[in-house]
Amino acid sequence: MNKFLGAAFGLSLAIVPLTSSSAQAQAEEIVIPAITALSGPTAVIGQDTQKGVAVALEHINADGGVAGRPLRIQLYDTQGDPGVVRQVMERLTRLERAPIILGCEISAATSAAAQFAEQARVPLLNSSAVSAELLERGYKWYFSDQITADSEAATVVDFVENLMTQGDVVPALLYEDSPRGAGTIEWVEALLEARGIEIAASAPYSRADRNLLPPVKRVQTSGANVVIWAGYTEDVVAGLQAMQQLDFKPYIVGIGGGPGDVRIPQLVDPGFIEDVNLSTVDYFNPDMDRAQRFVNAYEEKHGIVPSSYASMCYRGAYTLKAALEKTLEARQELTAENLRAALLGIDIPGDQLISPFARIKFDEHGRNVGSQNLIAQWKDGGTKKVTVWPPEVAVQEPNPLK
Amino acid sequence: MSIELLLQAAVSGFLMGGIYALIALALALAFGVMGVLNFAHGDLLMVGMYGVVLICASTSVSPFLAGVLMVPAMMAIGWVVFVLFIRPVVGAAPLVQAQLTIGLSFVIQSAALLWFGADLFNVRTELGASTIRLGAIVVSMPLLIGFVVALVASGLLAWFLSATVWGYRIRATAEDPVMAQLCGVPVRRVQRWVFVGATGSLAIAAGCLMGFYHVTPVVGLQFSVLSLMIVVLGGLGDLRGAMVAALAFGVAEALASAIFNSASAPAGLYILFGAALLLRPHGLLGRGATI
Repeated sequence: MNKFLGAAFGLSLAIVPLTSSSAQAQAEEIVIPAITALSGPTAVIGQDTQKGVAVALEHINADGGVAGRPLRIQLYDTQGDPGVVRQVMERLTRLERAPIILGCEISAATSAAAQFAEQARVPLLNSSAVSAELLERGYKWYFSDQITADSEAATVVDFVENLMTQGDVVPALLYEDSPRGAGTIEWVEALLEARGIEIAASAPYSRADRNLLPPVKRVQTSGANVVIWAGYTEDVVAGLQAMQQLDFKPYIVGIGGGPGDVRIPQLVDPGFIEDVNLSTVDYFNPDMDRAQRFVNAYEEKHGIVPSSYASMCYRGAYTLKAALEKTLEARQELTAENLRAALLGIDIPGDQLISPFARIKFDEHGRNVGSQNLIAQWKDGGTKKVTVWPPEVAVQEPNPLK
Repeated sequence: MSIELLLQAAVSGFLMGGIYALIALALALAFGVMGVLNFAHGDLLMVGMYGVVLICASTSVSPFLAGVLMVPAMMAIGWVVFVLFIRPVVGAAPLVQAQLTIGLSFVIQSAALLWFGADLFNVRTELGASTIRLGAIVVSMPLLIGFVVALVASGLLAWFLSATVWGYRIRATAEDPVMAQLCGVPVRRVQRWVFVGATGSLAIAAGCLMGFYHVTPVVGLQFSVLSLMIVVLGGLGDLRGAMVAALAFGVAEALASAIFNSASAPAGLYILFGAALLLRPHGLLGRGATI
């Protein structure tokens, strides 16, 4: 008996440190860095990202965290500048030895980050940049759960072809000349050409242009009745004002953050927004059923409807959570190699996402094979964005071509 | 490329150039009197633009009137900036001046980002979409009013410099500060009031811009670069040169955008700027200081 008690006491002494360290490990916070532009010309993306990530962390941690451990995403400001991105990536991979990095950046900055991640052999999970070219570089450590410019272009051209069933369509291209705008328009141009659709005019402009009357007039004089427009908020606001002054009311199919920015009705006459059927290809719209938990929490926390930018890294945080959980559930360490393998193995069904995606599942190039776009259109007097395309996710019909 | 499109670009570019002139004149005047190229000039303009937005949001006055109302506040800001940052570097090496004013630019940008966030703000008015049509040419009403207000402000500035005692003192200081001092001109006071006045005039320019443009924390940078280019093109310290350069720049910018149907339009503009400097190193009118 004494022997038995002695053995039990000895065993309990051995178990106590194990269980306490296990409990400690379970409660230990997982901290993952994310890069975004909190200042500089694209700070609006970073500031919305910050708000979206805050809601994601509240939801993830309220639902039990990552395999029982709380998750924290630490944001690092890159100013959207590739030079600063390299410095931040060096710090994160070499000094802080981050096992994975979440990217909530524009394409140019993401390109620099992906290059660095490849050298450092640390997974970069991009939830923001739409560059398709990045996925063709053969990188092994770059994953993107975001849509890509080529798929955006395909959705836009499908939508324009749908308009063609209603009457004569004379399309023109209007775009800001950064890699984001010009890059996507190149895909659109190629697709229109491949489908035998003639382009009436192509009018690039600089994002910094203070006067958009000349390029808008160029499009107007071409006789176009449908304008495919890639732009950021500031140039879309200036361009819509120029259209209003020129009394030019084409059917606008937009690309990029500008035409779908939730602040547009505060910046431009909403009546005119509806007059031009302002539509935008997007990866998020607040009216989707599956996004309601996020939308309600975001509105409650920040007092505004979430923008698409805000949704990007909310989704990214969940993709990250899936990879972390898969690694921990396999009782593996959170190392770069294990997390890369986990990313290649995850398969998140669409109904668990706030995007219109069929799923999140990566192919060997890091492309999300389940990504899918939608087209949202400003309705209700130009004050509310409604999902109108594709038919399987549409909430309402798109406005007809007049 | 139709004549109609070129005329449209030239007219709207010319009107825009008038507003550029008011912005650049303030910089040219401050440089002429103090020899300090202020790289935070556009950021001070940005402060004025936010001020106009706040006034318009709280009182519903037009942005042009809001600009006038902002003048005292901007003069006060100019006073503080002069005393704390500009006065210590008057007469210092150009590199020291540049470093200090670039640093000031970053501080103002960061403060605006913290205060207003990264969102874009503009002022929506009834006038926003109104136009005057001259045949096929459309003239934007807010741009036209902005041009007229800027022209009147520039005219008043020219009159002040050429017909008042303080104007003589300013010109004397710009010409030769040592001789002006020996003749009894209070050079330090003149420099301070020129900077305060130039910053105040940015409020008027901010009002003109907010009639049709927007403001973000980084908008100042582009206006700093623009005004520096205009001041250099016009001839450092030459006010009339700056006026001509601003109008020429506005037209060239709009024509480049209309003619060169590609992303190379801004580059073309910089090549033209470089060529003008090579051919006229003392500015368009040949009366500026050596660069």
